[in-house]
Amino acid sequence: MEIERKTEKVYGYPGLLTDRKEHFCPGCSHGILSKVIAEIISEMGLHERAIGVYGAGCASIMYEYIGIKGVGAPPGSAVGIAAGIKDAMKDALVFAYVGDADIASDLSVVIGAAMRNDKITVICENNFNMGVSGGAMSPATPLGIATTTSPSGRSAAGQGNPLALSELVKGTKGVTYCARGSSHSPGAVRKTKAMIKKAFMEQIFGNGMGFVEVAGMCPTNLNLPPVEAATKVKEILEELPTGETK
Amino acid sequence: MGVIYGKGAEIIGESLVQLGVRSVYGIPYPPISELHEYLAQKGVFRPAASTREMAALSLGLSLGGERTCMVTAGTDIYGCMESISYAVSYEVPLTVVHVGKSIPGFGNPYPYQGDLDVLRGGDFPPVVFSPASVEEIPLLIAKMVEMSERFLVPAVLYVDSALFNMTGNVEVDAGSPKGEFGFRKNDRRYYTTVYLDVTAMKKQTASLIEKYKEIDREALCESYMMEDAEYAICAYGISAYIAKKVADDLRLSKKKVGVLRPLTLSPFCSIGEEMKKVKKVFVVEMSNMQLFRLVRGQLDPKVKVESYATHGGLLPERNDVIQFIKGLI
Ligand code: SF4
Repeated sequence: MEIERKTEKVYGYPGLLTDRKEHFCPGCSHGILSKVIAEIISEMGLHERAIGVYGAGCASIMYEYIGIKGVGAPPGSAVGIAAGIKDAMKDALVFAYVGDADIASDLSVVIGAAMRNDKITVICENNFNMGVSGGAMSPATPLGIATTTSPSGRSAAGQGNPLALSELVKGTKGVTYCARGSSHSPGAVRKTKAMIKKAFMEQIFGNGMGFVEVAGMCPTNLNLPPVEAATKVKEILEELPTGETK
Repeated sequence: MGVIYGKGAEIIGESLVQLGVRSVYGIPYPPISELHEYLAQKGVFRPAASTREMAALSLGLSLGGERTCMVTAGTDIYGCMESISYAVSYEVPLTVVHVGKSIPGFGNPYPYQGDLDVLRGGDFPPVVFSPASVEEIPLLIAKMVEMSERFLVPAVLYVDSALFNMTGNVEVDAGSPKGEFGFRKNDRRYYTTVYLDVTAMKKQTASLIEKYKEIDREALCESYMMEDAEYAICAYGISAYIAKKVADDLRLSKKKVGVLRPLTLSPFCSIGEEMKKVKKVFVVEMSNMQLFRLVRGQLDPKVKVESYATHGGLLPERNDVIQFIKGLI
C-alpha cells in the first residue's frame, strides 16, 4: 500500500526579514522582536507603507534586518522623527522602535506626540539596562539589579526608584492604546504580537498613539545564560504587571 | 504673492508659507514668538514639547520629503546642532531661521551676532545666509531652501533680532519648486548615520568633503563702493546695513570707504585679493570679535585690520563708527 504524504508549511522564516545575519547576542529580545515586527507587517500586507525609526542602542541598525524603509535615529529622538515622517507621509505606517534608556533620555518626544495626538506607534523594548553601553543602569533598571554604574545593585537611596514607562505614558490623552508585553516565553511573545498589532491598528484607524512596552532579555548584561535571563525577566514582571492598560 | 508690509518676523513667515511649508514645529518665546504667531494664523505652526523634539520632528519631515524650517534664537541653536549633523550624514535638507539675540545664557532679546563661530563650526557646517535688510529676507530664504534641497545639506538664515523687528514693504515670491528628497524620492530603503566599517565611513566622509568643495564655490559677497576704496568695512547683517550708511557719510567727507559684505557666512567668500588693495580694514560686528578673527585669518599679515564691536544688545552706532574710523585713517 502506498502512503500519500501531504505536507503543509505552517511556519517559516518571515519573508520581510533580510538574510543578513543579526548581530544581537544569543537570547537577546531584539532578535525576537525584529522577527515579530516583520511577521506582523507581512501579515497585514503593509510592507510597502511601513517605516521603522530605530532609536539609539543595540537595535539602532534594525533597518538592516527588517526589509522595510527605515531610519537610524539620533539618541532620544526616534519618536520625534517618526512623528515628523508621519506628518509628511500621512499614508505611511510609522513606528518608533526604542529601548528603555533611549526613550527615557528624552520623554519630551513622547509628550509632544501625545499632546498633538500624532498617529504613530511606539514599541519600547525594555531590557532594564543600557545594553549598548555594556550594561549601564537605565532609568528603568529595577531595584537590586547590579549594573556597571550601580555595581552594588540599584537602590532607592543611591540611584533612585525605577521609572515604570507604560504607567508614565498611559496618562496622556493622545496615547489611545497602551500595553506592557514580554518576550520571556513563547506564550508571552504571542500576546505581545497581538498587542503590537493592536497598536498598529490604532494608527491605521487614526485614533492616536499606540504604545507597547515589551519586557526583554539582555542576557549579556544580566550575566546569565539565555534561559535564566528569561526567568529573571519573569521575576521582574511580578512587580510590573503585563497586559493592556488602555 | 506680491508686496506685503510687515516686520521681519512676518516677512519670514510669509516667505515660508509661499515656499509651500505647511508644518513648522516650535516653542514660542521672545523674540521668535511673533514668527510663530504669524505661522499659527496661516495654519502652519505646530507646537513641540522641547527644542530636541522640534529638531527631531523637523528632521522627520525632511526624511519624509516635506519642506519645513526650524526657528531658533540665542542658545536654542545648540540643541539643534545634533540634527544638523544628522541631516548632513543622512543627506537630507534641513533649514533653520536663527535669530541672533544677546548671549551668553538667556541674555536679552536684543540684537547680537554671537553665534557665528557656532554656526560655522565643525567639518560640515550648514550653509549660512545673512540678510542685511528686510527686503532681502524672501530672496535669501528662497536661496537657503534651494541650496539645502540641491546639495541635501542643512542651511541657516542667520538674522539678528533687529532685522527680525524692522518693518518694510517687501516683495514675497513663491520661490523655487519643491525638490524631491527623503523617502519621497524613493531611491534609498533606509537612512542611517552608522558606518561601523571604517572603510565605508571614510568613503562617506570623502564624498561629503567633495560636496562641500562644490558648496564653497557658492559663497556670496556684496561689494559696496569697493571699486576705488582705500578703506574697507567688513560687516554682515544689520551691522552691514549700518556700515553702508557709514560709508555713504564718509564718502561725503571725501574718505574713500567701501563695504564688503558676506551674504553667506558659511561658505565664507575669499576676500584676500580684494582687501590687498586697501590701506586698512575695519570689521564692524556685534560679537566678541568672531568676524574679526575670520577676516584676519584670510588676509595678508601686512593688511591692517581694526575691530569695532558692540555687545549686550547694542547696535553699532552710526556716528560712533564714523568717529572710530576717522580716528584711525
Ligand atoms: S548587549 Fe543586551 S541588548 Fe545588546 S544585543 Fe546583547 S543581549 Fe541584546
